[in-house]
Amino acid sequence: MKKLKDILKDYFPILGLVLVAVIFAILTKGKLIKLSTLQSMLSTVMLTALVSIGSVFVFGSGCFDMSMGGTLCMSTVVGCYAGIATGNVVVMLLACLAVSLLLNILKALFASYVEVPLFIVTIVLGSILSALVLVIMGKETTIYLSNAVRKLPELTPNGLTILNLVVLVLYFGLCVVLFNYTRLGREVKLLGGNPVTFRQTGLNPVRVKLLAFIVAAVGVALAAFVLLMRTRTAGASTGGSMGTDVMVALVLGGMPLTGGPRSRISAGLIGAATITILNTGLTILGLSTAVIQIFRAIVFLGVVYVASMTYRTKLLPR
Amino acid sequence: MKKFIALLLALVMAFGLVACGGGSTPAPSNSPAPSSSQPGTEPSTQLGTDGPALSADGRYPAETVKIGFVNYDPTAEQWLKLEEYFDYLSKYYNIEIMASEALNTAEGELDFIDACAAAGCDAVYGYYNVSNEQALLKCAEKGMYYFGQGANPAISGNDEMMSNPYYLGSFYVGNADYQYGYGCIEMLVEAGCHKIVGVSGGKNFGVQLFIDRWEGAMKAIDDYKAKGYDIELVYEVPGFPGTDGSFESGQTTALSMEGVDGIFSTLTALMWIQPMQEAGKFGQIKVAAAGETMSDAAIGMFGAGFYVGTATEIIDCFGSAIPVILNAVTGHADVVRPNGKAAMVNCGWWKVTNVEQAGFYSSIQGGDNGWAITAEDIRSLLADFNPDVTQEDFSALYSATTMDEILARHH
Repeated sequence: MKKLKDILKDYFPILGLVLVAVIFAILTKGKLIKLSTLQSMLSTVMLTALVSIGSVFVFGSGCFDMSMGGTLCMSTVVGCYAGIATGNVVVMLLACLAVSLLLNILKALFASYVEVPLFIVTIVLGSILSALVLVIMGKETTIYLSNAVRKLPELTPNGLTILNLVVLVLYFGLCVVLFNYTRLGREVKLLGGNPVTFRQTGLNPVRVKLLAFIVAAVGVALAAFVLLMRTRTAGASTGGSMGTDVMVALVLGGMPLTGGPRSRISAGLIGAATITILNTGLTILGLSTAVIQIFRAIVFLGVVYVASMTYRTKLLPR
Repeated sequence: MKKFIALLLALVMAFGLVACGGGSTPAPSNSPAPSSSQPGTEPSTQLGTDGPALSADGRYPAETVKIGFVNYDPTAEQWLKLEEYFDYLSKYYNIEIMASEALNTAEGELDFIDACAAAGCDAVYGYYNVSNEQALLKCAEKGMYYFGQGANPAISGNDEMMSNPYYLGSFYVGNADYQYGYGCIEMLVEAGCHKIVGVSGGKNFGVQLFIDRWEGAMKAIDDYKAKGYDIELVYEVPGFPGTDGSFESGQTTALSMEGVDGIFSTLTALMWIQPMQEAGKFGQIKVAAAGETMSDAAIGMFGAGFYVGTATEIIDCFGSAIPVILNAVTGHADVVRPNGKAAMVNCGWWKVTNVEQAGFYSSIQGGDNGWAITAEDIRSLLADFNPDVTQEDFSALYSATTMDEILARHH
């Protein structure tokens, strides 16, 4: 039977989320939990959650990807151009998917065959992607779906909420099944936990990394598509903070960024929700930007400190 | 177990939002205000001979008007000055400004507008805009007014947006950016400069204000050449300091060139001081900058012979949002939206050519002489105090910004 302390540790991310929600609901005198606010927050949670959920596969397998923001940006920009050129949302979605798949497969190959730490490769890749986006966009700073050859459908706020929910629930469900009930999920955790042991068992790390990055690419593509449907614009700064947001979300969600058996799909969702509630709550309170940054840093440090108590500190050689 | 709880939470959120999401979008109307805090909905007797209702601490209006402010750089000199102006106005008017952090993405901008709605804002000031008309449409969806973007063709150049009852227009300085650029070259010519280095800022990224400033400067150079004056652009420094290093390398190249005697900058030029000192050219190369905010540093640089001129935006003009929004939320949207359409408040700008002028203009930007447009001036634009006010009165006040006009108004 688990001790109460262990149970609390396991459920800390959810408790943290509930605690943050309750505190800000009280501080904002209920403004945070108004339906319109919840609807708005869902749109914000969506982006980070979609990318974070897929990233659990990547980080879980021990790959440290720092170029998720760049991938999202490139996917969004190319998707936007496809939407403008064709006036077709399906083509737009496929363009987002094609770009993110291509880039993530490239990253998987780097992770498998290049003897350079992946985080360095992806930092460089992120810079290259930003530069490429600038080259593609030329003198445009922002591109707009309103310039499409044929008018693309515009969703009402409720329509957007339904789209968000359908996409999130389907992708989350898919990832939960893949991660917890298939061979891929078990291999991802094993590879992240100890790559030496993984290889010695005769398993193929290239296949696992490739599949992990492909699952993550779907999340990025969906995020790019939902982002386009919401903002109807794309630019070189789109998704700029996504890389950091995802890492913060995963940590707040209770997942070690080194991957391994403690990786969990729920981390992406819980962490994204926690960040969004925190940011929205602080903004609603009307604090100055400096105070918001200090407050947020303190909360992050506190949560990360408590979450870190669940990490294994004595690992086998890796 | 945790997976199921997370899934359960997601599903509860999903069904809750879908089930309860309907009918939350307020229907737009031409007037009155969409806010719950509008004194315009109070009985009209309150606005009788004793004047409009005031808050407990004597400020107008009785209920606090919250305004979201879409910011690009919370550390920028211009924003800090504007914040100072808002603080000054808030002593007289019951306003609360909710400024964003640095926003440079459409998703960040729309998220902030959502948060403003949740916080109970009555209006959003689009000081910066990435998402074009989406920002205005989001405000309308949330029942908040939107002010700003007078030079944004997707908003102020779009008839559908101008007719949107939630759009309150903006301040507008005509083709001021073009004039800033033209004026800067005039000031360099007056200082006897011939070989000019141009600092183009965001021109190559397609940012309109930098394009306009640059084009104004190039036209001035062509005009002076046509008159027989020996002047040429010898080098262009693109971009912004502190981004990718190209600006700094451009500075080094420019300062190593023989014969350069003038710098025209499409943005503040204070970042040239140190490189010039290091190159031993401080005081030898004259500088004119467009869009400089009058600060102690800028005045000092006039005195030190660094600046020969600046084309300066007036902080108070950015503050024209306050009387416009106050009229709208107090039920007088028709004043600022004549004929059911958003209108522009015409504003002036300053051409500063010497340290005395710099000192004066600085003194009326929160200095010893207060502000160019005072709280009392603004009072004359509020329909609750002046029932005869029209939109033209706004332009008349905000374009009367020469030194003489300000002095005449203040005395």
